[in-house]
Amino acid sequence: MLAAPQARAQSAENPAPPVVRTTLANGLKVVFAPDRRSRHVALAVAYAAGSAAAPEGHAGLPHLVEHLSFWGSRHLEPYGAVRMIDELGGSTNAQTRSEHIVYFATAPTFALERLLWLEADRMAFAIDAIDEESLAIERRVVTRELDERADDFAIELFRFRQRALYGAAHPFTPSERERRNVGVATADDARWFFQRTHRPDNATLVVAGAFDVAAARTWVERYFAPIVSPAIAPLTTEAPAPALCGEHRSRIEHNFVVYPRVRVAWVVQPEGPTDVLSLRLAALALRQRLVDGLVAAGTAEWVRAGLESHATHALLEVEIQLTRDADVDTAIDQVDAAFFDLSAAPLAPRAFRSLVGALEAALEADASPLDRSLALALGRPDPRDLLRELPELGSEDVRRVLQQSGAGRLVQTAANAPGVRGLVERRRANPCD
Amino acid sequence: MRLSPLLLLPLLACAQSAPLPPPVTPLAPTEDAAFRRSPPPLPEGAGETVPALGVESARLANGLTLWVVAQPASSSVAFSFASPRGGRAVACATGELAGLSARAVAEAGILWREGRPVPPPSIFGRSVQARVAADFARFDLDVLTRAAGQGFEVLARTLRAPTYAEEALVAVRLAELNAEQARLGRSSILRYAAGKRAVGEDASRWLWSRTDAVRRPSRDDIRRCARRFVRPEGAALVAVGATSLVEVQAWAEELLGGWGVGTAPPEVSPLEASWSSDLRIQHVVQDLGSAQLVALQPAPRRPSVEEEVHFALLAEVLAGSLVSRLSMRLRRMEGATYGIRPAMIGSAKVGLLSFELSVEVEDATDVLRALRAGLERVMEEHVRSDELRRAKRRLAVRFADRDEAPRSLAAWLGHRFAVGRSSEDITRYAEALAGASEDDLLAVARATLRPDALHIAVAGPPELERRLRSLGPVDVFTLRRN
Repeated sequence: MLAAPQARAQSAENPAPPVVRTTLANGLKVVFAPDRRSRHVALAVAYAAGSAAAPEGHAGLPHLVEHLSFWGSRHLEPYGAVRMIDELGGSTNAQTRSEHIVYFATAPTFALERLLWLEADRMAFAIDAIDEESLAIERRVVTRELDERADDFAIELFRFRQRALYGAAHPFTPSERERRNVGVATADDARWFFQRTHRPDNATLVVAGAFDVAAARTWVERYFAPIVSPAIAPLTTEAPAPALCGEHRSRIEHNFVVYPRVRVAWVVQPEGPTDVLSLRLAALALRQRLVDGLVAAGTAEWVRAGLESHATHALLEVEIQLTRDADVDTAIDQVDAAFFDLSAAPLAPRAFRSLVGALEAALEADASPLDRSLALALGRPDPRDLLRELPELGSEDVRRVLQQSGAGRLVQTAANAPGVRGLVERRRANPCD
Repeated sequence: MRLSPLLLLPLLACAQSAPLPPPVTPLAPTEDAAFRRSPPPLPEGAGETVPALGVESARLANGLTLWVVAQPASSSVAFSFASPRGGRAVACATGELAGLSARAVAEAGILWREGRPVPPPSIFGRSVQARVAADFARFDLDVLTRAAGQGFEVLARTLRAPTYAEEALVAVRLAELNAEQARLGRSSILRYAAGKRAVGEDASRWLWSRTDAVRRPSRDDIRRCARRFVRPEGAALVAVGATSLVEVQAWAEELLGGWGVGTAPPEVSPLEASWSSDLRIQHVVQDLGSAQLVALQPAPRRPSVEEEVHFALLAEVLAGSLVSRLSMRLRRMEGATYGIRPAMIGSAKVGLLSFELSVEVEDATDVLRALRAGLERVMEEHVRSDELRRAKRRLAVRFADRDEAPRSLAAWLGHRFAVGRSSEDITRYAEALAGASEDDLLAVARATLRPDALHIAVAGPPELERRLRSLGPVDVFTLRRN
C-alpha cells in the first residue's frame, strides 16, 4: 500500500492579491492583477472593435490596421516596439478577434515601464506611421497570412460554423471578400479605422504578473492619462446573439475528410462567474460521458468540449472526431443522451469531485500572467476569481445551466465525399423560417 | 453564353466597397511631450542572465536515476519518466511500432493494487502522456499538488504493469492512426520529406503507407517493443514542483525499487544526417496559390552544453523573432512572408535546424537564395553585439518561463537526461548563456552550417518546379487522396 501522503494543505499566503480596477478621465479602463508567483509581467490592451466592426465592404480592414500598428509611430521606426521588447527578452504580438483587437506582451518585471511607454505610443501616435509604403508591404503580409489559413481544414469548418450559427450577414461570419478587400484598402481607410478604434475611450489596459501596483499606477497615469481621443465617435462591435429556435443541421462534404466529425453547439447566456464555472464543468462532464461512451468503444478518436465567450452570449460546444466508418447519427444520439442525463439528475458526488479537480487544474493553467491579462482585457472573468469561487459550486449548478440551454442548437457534421473538391455545405431548412 | 452588359451592372455595383469618410484632423490629437520622444531607461545590465537551475539527484539500486527540482510555491507537481532508448535505438522494427507501443503502455490499462486490471487512471482530468522519438522516450504526468502522491503511483504502475488489454488496443491503434492523420498537415509532410532525405531515407514512402505499421503488430510485438525502452536501468524519473527529493525517493523506493532489470536490448547506431551532397529539393505538388517552404540545416550532433547554447543563440539571431535577421529581410523589407519560423527537430543526436515559411510562388526561389545568403553571412562574420545581447535576453526569458511551469521544466529535464546530460550539466546552461561571445557563435556556425547543402521541401502548384530547377535537382511528388 502506498505510504505517501494523499492530500496536502495549500500555502497560507495568498500569492495573488486582489485585482485593482480604475478608469482614467479619458475613458481608459485599467486593471492591475498582481501575482507574486511569477517572475514576469504581462501587458494586454484590448480595443473594443474587432473583425466584426469592419464597415460593410471593408472586411479585413481591422486585421490590416492591427498589422500597420507595428510600423512604428512619430517616435519609433518600423517594428521599433517589437525590436525593443525583443531586446528585453520579451515577446509581443496581437490578435484581431471578432469583437476586439488585442495587443499583448510579456517581459521581465524590470521592463514594465518600457512596455507601458510603448503601448501608449501606439495608442497615441502609431497613426503617423500609416503610409503608402507600410500599406503596400502589410497588404502582402496579411494576404500571405490569409493564404496560410486557407488550407486549414479546422479554420474552414469554423467558417461554416459561423455561417450556420449566425447567418451570412452577421458580422461574426467571415467574409469571402476579405482577401480582395485587403488588396484595395487605402491608407486613409486604415487611418479612419484607427482613429475610431485605437483610442482610450474604447480600450482596456491590463497589467498582470509580478509588479508593484503603486509604481505601475504612476506610469499608467504618466503615459496614458494625457492621451486624447480623436474628435469622432468610437466604433464598437455590434453583434447580436444568434437566435436559434430549434435544431439547425449543417453537413460538410469534402474529399480530404477521412474521419467524420460532429460538432454540437448550444447558445447560452451565462450570468456571472457561477454560471461560467457551471458551464465549464458541464462541458467537462459532457466530454467525460462521450469519452466513456464513444472513445472507449472505438467509435470516436477524440472528444473536445468547451465554452466560447462573447459579449452578448456564449457557446457551449462539443466536437467529436469519429473513426473512419462510424455513424454520425449514432454519435449525435449519444450527445443527446449525455445532455439529457446531465440535465435530468445531479452528478454523483465522486464524479462531481473529480470534475471539479479537473476544472481546477484547467483554471490553474489559465492563470499565467499572459492568459490572465488577456481574459481580463477581453472582459472575461479573472481565472483567479473563478478558482476562488470553485469550492462554492454544487452539482445542482451543472443541471441548472444545462436545463437553461436547451432551446436551440447547431449540429454540424463533416464527412468524406469522394470526388468533391472544396468544402460543400448541405443545410437542412432553418426551423425558424 | 454571353451576358448583356446591363445584366453585369448590378454585379459590378455589389463588388464595389462603399468609400469610407476621410480621417479627421489632426490625425493624432494628443499633445507630444519630451518624455514621449525616447523610451524610459532600463536598469543597468538587467535581464541578460538567468539563475542556475538546481537539480537534486539520487539513484535506485536498479539503475533508475531520480532528478528533483523543488518549487514549494507551485500548485502542481509534474513527473517525467525519460529513457534514452527511442524507437530507433531499441530496434523495434519501425518507429511506428515504437510510437504504438509507448501509447499502449499509457492508454491500454494497467494493473492496480492487488493486481486488479483497470483502465488508464485519470487524476483530475490528467493522465499519463507518452512521447517517443528516434532516440528517446518519455512518459509525463502532471497533477495538482494535493494529488502528488496519487500521481506518482499512477505513473509508477503505468510503467511497471501495463496490461496491453486486447480490447483496449483497438482504441490505442485508432488513436495512433489518428495521430498519423494529424501529421498530414502540409508543414508536417514537408518536414517529413526533407527530414527523411536528410538522413538518407526514402522520402517517397508517404505517411499513409505508414498506417500498416500501426495496424499489423501483434500484442506480443507491442509488449516486446515497449519493454526495450520502458525499463529502469539508464532511465530517469524527473519530478518538478511542490515536492522534495526525500519525498520522491520514498515513493520511488516503494513503488519502483523492485522494478527488475531484464536482458539489455540490442544497441543500434543512431540516425545521422548526411550533408555531403549539393542542395536538394523535394517538390510536393499541391493545388495551392502560394508556396510553403521547409529548409533544413544541420545542428550540432552530441553538443556540449556550451555548443548547444551557442547554436540556440545563433538560431535566435537568424530567425527567432519578428525582428531577427531573416524575418526583417523577408517580411519587413519585402513583405514576402508572414513569418519565418525556426525549429529544432529530430533530437540532439540527429540534429536538424528547420526554417519554415510561406511565400508567393514567384518569390520562392529568391527567398531560398536569401536564406542561403543569410546562412553564409553568419559563417563569414561575427554577429553584432546588439544581436547577441538581444538573443541572450530572449533565451534567458525562455529559460525562466520554462522553469516557472513544472510541466515544461520536467519535460525539458527528461529530454536533457535522455540525450545524455548529467545533473551537473543542467547547472551549466545559465553559465553558458552568460559567457557566450560573438566568437562562439561564429565558431559554431562554421562548424555546423551547410548552406551549400540545404535540404528543401516545397509544397506548391506544378509550375513551381520550373522555378525550383534553377536552384538544383528537384524530386517531384504528387499527393493524392481518394
